[in-house]
Amino acid sequence: MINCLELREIELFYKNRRIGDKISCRFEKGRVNLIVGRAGSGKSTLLRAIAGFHKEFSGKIFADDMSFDSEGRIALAFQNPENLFFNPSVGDEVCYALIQKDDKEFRQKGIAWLEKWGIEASAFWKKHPFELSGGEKRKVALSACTVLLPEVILLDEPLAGLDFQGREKLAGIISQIARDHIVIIVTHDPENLIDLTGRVLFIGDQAVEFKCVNEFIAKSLQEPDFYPLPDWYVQAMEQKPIKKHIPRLRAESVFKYLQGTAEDADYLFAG
Amino acid sequence: MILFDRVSYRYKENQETSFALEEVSFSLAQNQIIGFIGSNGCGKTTCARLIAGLLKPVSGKVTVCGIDTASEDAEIHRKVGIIFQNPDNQIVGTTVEEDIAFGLENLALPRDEMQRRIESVCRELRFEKFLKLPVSHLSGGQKQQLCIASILVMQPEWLIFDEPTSHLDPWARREFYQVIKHLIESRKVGIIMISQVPDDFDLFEEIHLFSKGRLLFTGKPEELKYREDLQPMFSFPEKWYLDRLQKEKNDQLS
Repeated sequence: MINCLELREIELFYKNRRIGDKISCRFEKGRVNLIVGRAGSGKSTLLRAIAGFHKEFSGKIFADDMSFDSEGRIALAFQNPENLFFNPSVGDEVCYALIQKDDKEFRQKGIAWLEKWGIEASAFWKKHPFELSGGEKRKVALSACTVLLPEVILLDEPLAGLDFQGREKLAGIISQIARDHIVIIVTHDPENLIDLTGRVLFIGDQAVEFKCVNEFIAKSLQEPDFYPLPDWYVQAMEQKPIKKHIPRLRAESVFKYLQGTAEDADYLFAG
Repeated sequence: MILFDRVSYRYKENQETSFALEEVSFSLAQNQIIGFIGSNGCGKTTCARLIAGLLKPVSGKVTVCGIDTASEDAEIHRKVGIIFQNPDNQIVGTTVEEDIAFGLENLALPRDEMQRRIESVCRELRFEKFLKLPVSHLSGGQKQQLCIASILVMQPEWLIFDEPTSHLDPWARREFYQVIKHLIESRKVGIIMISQVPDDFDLFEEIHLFSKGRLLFTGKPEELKYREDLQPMFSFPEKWYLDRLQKEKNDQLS
């Protein structure tokens, strides 16, 4: 299994036009990796380049210091992956890729993977995908996209369109999966994911920055135009000078931080 | 004024007993910004579509500015403008000006009046500099402003936003809040916003909380913030939770 996927001086092009600056970063296993930036900054294009779908780029991608060939080692789930359902049942949808690979254990593997994404296989296996709720559809779709257990999982806005409770649940599941896989997520709405994140790649108009999540949030607090954080968090953090460790984007952690009673679990990952 | 009198609605594909909205009654006054909130499938978008006359109730009555929405009176579509989640789905022109003019052309207004309305709305939204641009040159946030402009030139009495910030990046979301605050200040139009984005809640002066097709709460955000019994139905914003913790602390100290 890969422990680290490294991008070295990646320069993206779209129809011969260069998008943004050179990108160099190291995505690691263990915690979620985020890619953030303005709409149109090239976030999704970078994801497609890593997956091998977008060929217009220069620079190199390495896996554990070896040249990386994405073939069979990567899964990419596009935005709203449930729009691509084409099988008559949840079971068929999840097992489709395994059957195409002639995997004789498709059923056991499909069930185990579906359960890992928080869907009870016995209750849902025979249901038509369109019978499911929005959150269930998303989990089945992400499960189907990643069922070949690739080493690298790329997700484009996996939480978009879900309600808050659905987002929280799915963020927790993705975080579990990130323990054994390199998970890279493109999002413009990182609030539910920040607590689970290790490193953040920020693609800006002026510069590209790759930071530990703690440093990323610290910089966003110090320079409000760098990355807009939720107003409630910014206002609360104005009450106390910013220290080395920054509290999670949760009311309870921020409250404890302001009271001076925060513990390790209340702080963002600092590397 | 919008009136819902024991309104029920169910989508055709659902079972007879499965309601998208069941016996819902409320009234909305125009001079405030109203938030419709609740989990996926709770009925908030169904309510908005009933107000806009895009759906007709199975039972009960929806009245908007005195017009029964079931009456097939086309005037209802001029009274209510709806802006959907994804702006790309409702842009029809190739240039910004063409898109804004589209609705007005269907009203068969004189050319001078059309021009006057377009200029006035674009000035209000500070959108003049984009008028001659192709719509493909606009960012997501600018496309949303274009949709707002295209609706405002029709001079509706109500504007409904269906999850307006869910497709926007944080910078575009800030720009959108500026536009909304300006619209609220001008008090020319009633605003209903369907949303699940906690940052949006700061804008609301009145909240309607839906759950499983029923209306659970109507009132001020300050009141809902302290209703712990309703929290299982909807995850409250972290801001509200922090306010509650601080209030508890202050109560203890006093």
